[in-house]
Amino acid sequence: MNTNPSPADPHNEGPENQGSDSLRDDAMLDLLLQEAFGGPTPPDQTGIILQRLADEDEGSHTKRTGSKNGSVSATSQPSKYTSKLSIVTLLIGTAAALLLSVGIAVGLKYRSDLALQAQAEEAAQNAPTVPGPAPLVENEGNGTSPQPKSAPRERRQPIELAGNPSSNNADDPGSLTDASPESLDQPTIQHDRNSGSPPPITLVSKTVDTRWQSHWKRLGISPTPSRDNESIRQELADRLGIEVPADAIGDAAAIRVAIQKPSNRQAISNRLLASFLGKNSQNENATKSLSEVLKSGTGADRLIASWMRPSQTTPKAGDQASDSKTSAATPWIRMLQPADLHEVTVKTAALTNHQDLRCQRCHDVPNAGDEVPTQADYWSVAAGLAPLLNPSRAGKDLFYDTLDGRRQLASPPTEEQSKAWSKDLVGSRELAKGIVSTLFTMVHDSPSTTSPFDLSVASAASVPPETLRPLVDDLIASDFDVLRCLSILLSDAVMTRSVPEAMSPQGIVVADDEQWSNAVSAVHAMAARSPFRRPESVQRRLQVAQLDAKPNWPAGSGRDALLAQPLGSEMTTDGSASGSGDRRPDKNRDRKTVVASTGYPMRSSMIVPAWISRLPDFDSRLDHVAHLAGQLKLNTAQRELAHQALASGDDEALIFERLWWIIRPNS
Amino acid sequence: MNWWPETQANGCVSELSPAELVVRHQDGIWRYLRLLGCDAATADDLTQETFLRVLRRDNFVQHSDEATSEYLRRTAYNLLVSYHRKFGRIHLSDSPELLDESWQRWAGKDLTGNETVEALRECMESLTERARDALAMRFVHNTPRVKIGENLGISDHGARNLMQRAKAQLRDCVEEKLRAITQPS
Repeated sequence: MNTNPSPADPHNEGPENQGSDSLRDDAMLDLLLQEAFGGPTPPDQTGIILQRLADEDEGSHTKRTGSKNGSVSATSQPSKYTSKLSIVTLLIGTAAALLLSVGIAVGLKYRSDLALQAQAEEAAQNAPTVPGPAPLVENEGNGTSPQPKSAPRERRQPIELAGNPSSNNADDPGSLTDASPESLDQPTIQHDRNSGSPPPITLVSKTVDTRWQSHWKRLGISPTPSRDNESIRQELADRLGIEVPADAIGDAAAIRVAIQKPSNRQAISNRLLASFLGKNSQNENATKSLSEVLKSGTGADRLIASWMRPSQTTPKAGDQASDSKTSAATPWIRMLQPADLHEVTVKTAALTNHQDLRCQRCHDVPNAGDEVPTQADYWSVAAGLAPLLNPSRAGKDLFYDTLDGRRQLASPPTEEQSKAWSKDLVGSRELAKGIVSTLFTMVHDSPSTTSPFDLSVASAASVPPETLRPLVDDLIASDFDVLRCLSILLSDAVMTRSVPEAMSPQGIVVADDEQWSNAVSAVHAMAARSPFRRPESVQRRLQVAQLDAKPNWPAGSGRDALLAQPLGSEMTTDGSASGSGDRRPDKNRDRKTVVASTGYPMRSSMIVPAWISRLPDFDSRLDHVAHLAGQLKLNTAQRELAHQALASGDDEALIFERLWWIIRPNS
Repeated sequence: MNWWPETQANGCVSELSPAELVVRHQDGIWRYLRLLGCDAATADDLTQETFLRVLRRDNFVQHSDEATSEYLRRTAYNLLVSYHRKFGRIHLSDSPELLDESWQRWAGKDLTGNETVEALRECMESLTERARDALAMRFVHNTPRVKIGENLGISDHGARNLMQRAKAQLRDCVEEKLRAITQPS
């Protein structure tokens, strides 16, 4: 039965020359004809309406005392009523107003007068600002959709545009609020890129090193001695594929010259693109463009901004682009594919706005402060990216569920906001932070920032923002000279650290728990170099884990047969438990050596955050570890491995650490 | 069928209780929302919301049945506009004034459209079986016009003409019947 009597019904068989009155009459007749033929008829809703009215009067009588207008009542929701137009709007609006008030009060209390003044001056000076994903999020300018929204949190001040001559990094409120006492003592090297040449590279390098020393001193960790140049040269060749003369090691300027060579630039371009994307890419055009930008020494921001802009360019055959890849609207998303909306959202926010959105798909991050994006922010970004990922989603609403079961409509950015976002990436400080963070991870194989909710390391040992701030300032001042930034990282105090004694081949055998624990802490704090080399491929890491976890159980006998064996036993190929005399210790030793050389966790050393233990079951905890790696869930092999370890009696903390070692992204 | 309470039918202006008001006008509001393009479920929701909005107002005065009906329709229209802005699914191309003209012609007699539907059912008896079949295919099964023609052994245009004539006949018949209702013998 056709139940949708639209006046624009294509079935309209009226004369073509009939007027609009006739059209309306025809629509009315069609509607009544539907009823006459047994279609939908007006239901008797008297009881429902009166019941709702009575419920509201009863439930909100006290609330409405003194208010003549009963329309503000929003208490009862009968099951049939689904649209909830005014009530939801009022509730959300009230919540937003309350949160806004609290945010303002807290801001006024804790911000110093000086910081407030600096912000005000900056806001007045920097008319063109670079909002990051926050602008994608904020939709207040869209007057066409007075829809209910989650209450927005207080936002940080817009980031100043580096190219704006009036801007001055010294006035950055973030600098005032985030700087440690040590950092305030450091020589000021913040330069605007239009205000002259950037500071000497050696000065920046020295400043970074000083901050590392301050960081380690604050943690009470003694950095290991410097290692020899040949060892560093070898590591650079192995891990990054670049050739740097041994005598250039430790000298940022000399490294800058060395990595400028075409072969090194090509290798860096490949690695850097893979780090941006979090996976290997075969996009030759992008690699070539990136290599050219590295060669020119400027404009990485402009290149990345161009990746974010929708284009009609058809990828060439050499890109090996499939149909699905060509359907994406921006080069960036084409490079990321295959990827789901969550992956695209998280990675885009991480690079362009240096924001961590791994958890916000499902919920807000509790007790995270005002600067952490909310779930509504996540979905606003996702709503802006969805049509770029899949053009058929253009103009369609995007809904998401909040933890309390409500369904919300994501607020997509307006077209103007989307355009402004990619445009404003040029010179963006947030983009500079994202690039520095990516470079840091690429060089040191460890994330530059972690959250208290992360599995990486104890948050106290994570790299403080002020340590890397000189690099961000220098990247902006040098007009996004990525090779310059990279050369500083390659020559910093972290890169020159040696392996702790407890992790040397001899030390592993003789070190006690305390020595081992100290060594792990030093590695986590970047005060020592890890001797272990994590394989780059997730598949290879999984194989390593399986090598350690799985005895030689025969194909076809299943996991149950394996799990029935005593812990540590192995099975022969016919499925029977092997006797001690049948064991092959040499093979076992080789296997353990291979596993140990990769840094596969042999004992629990991470602090597993408390929130994980509050999750209801093991599978849920596994899924949340996957979320921390930017994935929606584990694949079958990873999940199987974790269950196998649990069944064999492994500690959950160690299981999570091992799982994290496997799935943690490279960037 | 007459939904007027006795006092209204006798021309007296007295205020209806909330229950009487809902009973009196809910069919009309529901059909009006359907005329605006709502599906049945949306019409249900917005009908409820319309009455709640109006009944919550302390300053709502029932001047006359017609005025109340018009006020309810305008409230329903505004709610639908809000709904449209929120979900972007329903397109309103006509102003409420123009829609009201059409509404008055078809449902203005009893402010609900019930009389018209009743009249329409009676008038359908006067149609040929072939014309009834064509309209049934159209309105019950949502069959494309070409398919209707095929089923009846006539062309696409033939089916269109058949349904046009049937609807014109129904329109005349209904108008005649409504006129008879409002002109007491």
